[in-house]
Amino acid sequence: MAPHSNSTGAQPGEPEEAPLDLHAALRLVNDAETKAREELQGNEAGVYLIWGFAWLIGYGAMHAARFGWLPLSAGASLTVFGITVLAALASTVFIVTRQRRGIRGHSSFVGAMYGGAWALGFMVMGTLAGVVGGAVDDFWLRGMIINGIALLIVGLMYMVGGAMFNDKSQAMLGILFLVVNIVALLAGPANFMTVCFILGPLGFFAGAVAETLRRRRLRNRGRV
Amino acid sequence: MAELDPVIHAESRLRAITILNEVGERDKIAFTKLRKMLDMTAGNLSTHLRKLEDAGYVEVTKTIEGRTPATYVGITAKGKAAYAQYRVALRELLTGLP
Repeated sequence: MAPHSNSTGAQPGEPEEAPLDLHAALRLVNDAETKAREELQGNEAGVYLIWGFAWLIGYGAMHAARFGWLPLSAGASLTVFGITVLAALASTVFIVTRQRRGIRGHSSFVGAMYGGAWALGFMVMGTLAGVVGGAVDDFWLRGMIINGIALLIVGLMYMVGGAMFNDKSQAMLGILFLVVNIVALLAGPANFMTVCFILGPLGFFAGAVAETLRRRRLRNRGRV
Repeated sequence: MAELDPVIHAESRLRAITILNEVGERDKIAFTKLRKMLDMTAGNLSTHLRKLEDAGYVEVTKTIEGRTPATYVGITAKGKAAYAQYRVALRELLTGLP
């Protein structure tokens, strides 16, 4: 096809540009759209990987203490769990803040409210954890109740986030976490950590794979 | 036969309006971030944005952040419609289908 030239030509003061043919224009649009989505939406796969490893290490430590395959006390495993979750949280906040820098408007308000909902949700959970800690003596039953509340918040927030940001993999992860929560609670205090230790990281890693494939499809999506 | 909007159909402006379309009508992007994403000089980008602004496709807002002046750019409803029309026209020209 013959080049479709820029019929306006360069105006005074405007940099000269080579005429743009139709195929080049389509390529350019697709590339710019892909690049913009990648930069503006950030790397969800990276965030899922971070949380997958945080759960693997955190719940792994709890599981190890529960079943004695590592020389860890219950208290020490709780410390490991807390540190890994805080590290994952700090990494996520850093990634999201960096990706949203330089954008303002409606999405900033939505993001602030969504972030605030996470923070407030876990503040309530922390308060509840204190109440549960005072009322329940058994360490593993206490752990199951507190983690069950945390998983409920995580699952609901992922589902809401998926709906708000039109992100199917995030919504699916939300559903998965709620199902995992039900299964883990039904498994009881003895096996709650086993279910979370196995199915939680698997969910995050599956989310990372789905997100990577989605990005690849976006990059290679059909051209006219 | 479909016609391509000459304001959009120029490499730099096409790349710029594509990114602004992704940012969305309800958001604005910092000039510095847009410049980095497009890998263009500030002068070059300003020139092309002025052309898009003159056509009513983008809105440029100057503000102060802390003590530093900042410029934000956003696509308008007219710009979004023009971009959508451009995509349709481009597809029609490439496939020969209306």
